[in-house]
Amino acid sequence: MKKLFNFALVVPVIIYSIFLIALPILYIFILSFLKNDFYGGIINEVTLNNYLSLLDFVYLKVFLKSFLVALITTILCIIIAYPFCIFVSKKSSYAKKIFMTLVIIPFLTNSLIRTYGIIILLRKEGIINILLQSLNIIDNPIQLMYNDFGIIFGMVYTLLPFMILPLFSSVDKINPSIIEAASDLGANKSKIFKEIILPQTIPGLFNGSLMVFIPTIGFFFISDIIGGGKLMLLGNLIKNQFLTARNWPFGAAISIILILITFCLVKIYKKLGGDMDELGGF
Amino acid sequence: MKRVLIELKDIKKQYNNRVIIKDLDLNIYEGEFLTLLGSSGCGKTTILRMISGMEDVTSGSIFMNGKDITSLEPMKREINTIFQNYALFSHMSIEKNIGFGLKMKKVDKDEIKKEVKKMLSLIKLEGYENRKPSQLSGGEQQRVAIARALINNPKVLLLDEPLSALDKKLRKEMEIELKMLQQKLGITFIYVTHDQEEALTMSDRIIILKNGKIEQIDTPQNIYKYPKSKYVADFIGDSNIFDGYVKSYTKNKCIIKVDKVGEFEIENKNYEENDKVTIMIRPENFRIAKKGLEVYKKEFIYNGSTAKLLCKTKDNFDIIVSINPNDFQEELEDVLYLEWDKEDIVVINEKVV
Repeated sequence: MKKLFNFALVVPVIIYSIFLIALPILYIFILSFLKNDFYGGIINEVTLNNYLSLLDFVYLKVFLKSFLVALITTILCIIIAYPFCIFVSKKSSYAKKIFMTLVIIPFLTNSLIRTYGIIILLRKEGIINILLQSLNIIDNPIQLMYNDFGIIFGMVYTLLPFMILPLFSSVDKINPSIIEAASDLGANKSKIFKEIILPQTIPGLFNGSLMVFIPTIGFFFISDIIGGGKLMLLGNLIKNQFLTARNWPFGAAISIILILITFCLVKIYKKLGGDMDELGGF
Repeated sequence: MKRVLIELKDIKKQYNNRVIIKDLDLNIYEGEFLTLLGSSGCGKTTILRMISGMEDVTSGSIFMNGKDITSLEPMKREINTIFQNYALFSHMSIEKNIGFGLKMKKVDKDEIKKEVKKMLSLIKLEGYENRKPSQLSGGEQQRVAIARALINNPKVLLLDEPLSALDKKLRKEMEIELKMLQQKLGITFIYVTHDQEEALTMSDRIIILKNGKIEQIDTPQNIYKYPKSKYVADFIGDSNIFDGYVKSYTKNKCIIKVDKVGEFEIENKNYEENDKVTIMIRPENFRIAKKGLEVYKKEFIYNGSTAKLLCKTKDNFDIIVSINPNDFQEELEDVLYLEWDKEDIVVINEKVV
């Protein structure tokens, strides 16, 4: 009886996982091996063409560019998040709560709306340009939007919390007396970071990097809105295939590749001795 | 004459507006085992952290070998610390842990390997180079922490309750090991603990702290035999403390009357009638006799090598008496008479004039 009750408790999660995660992925997977017809329909005929056409130079360039943007975004997020996390971890537990709440607050607003908010900052008559002009730092407004800078700015802004949260949980776990011991043994600040903090926070760092890197590849609306659609990232490509070009099988094939890339990154992390529990734990 | 190695002068420490340490003056000698003893919150760890440089002093100065090191960075002081929870680097092997200090000094790699080997044999953990701290027992981790500090050849080793996480048997072993290590190396050890047994076993000198002030500094024997205050008497070992007053006095003798207990005769040291006097008698200085102070047996506490008897006087004043553990309680009468020697009465100098 008790067993049955315990099982009943997990049923909703099982249903959720099967119908909203496993089946859609399976559907996408099958779809990626089918043909599409001229009007956006699907023909039940098995083919590898969707994957083979990805080898086209045009698409490889999209992959490459996406990875570059994702890599730069990830690195910038790491550079910003580390000092912040170390700073906050030294505060009292009350101050920690306040800082982490501030990090989470932007989530309360839709990210699409926040992206429009970034435009107010970045556009020619935007706050940044007006400020720089009134301080006489620049004469004419500089182009901050509709280019790679704007896209990366938007990505970093949107995804920074995903780096900070897992990284902070790792940094905060470090026993302060370990840092004191290192300093007592003659390590200066940069040595303490390199020898102690960095190796002890690898799980959080990798977790955060994964949570920033993968969405950056997929966040099409940021490059659409801030980049003006000029820069094609993998996310834009998938969106276009599903919504504009109406080639669902090809869109599905790109999605599967993206899933595989994520999978590979997690595998690499495990190979390097990473702990899967730590990866999921924050 | 022992040489002064560290000198604390007029040290004051305050967090926000709370004064932790006030007017602390202290000389620490070369090669001594000095223990800071006190209950939690008495400021003992703060003093240690100020010596190591991990904590600033609010005012006052610290000298080492006559040189002012008050504002010197921790890493530049020839002082190393052993932390309460060992603070080993969990991601590094034992070899890397011990060699960390030398690596920071950019010592040659082969040289580090050699030194680490020496250290491992000193702490009797040969062959442990490639293990991780988590694979070691608590006592072994503690020894690694000690080796990691000693490899830097510090002049002073600070130990912040290093044995508190170990079980009792291991703690006893480590106490002796630490004391022997200290004597072998001749380094000054400054040891912080709240455990009076630990302090008595290891120290050359003990400092008893109370609310950020030094209550008494002396050798373990003197602290035990001649506590200068009620607090010290109570903190170190078991004690029977009697608050009394001078009932009558002659030139040489003086009778102290203690309510609910009785009268004690002590040597007269310029006491006058009705002066308040606190005296103390250790449990082992009471003898069970045919006559004397009449007490009633309350509880028998057997401890193996020792045994104690909790008694009370007619008026319900508790007295603790050490007895031979082989005297089983059945053989003891319910009413006992206690005797003591005049010399064993310790007069605690808390007379407020």
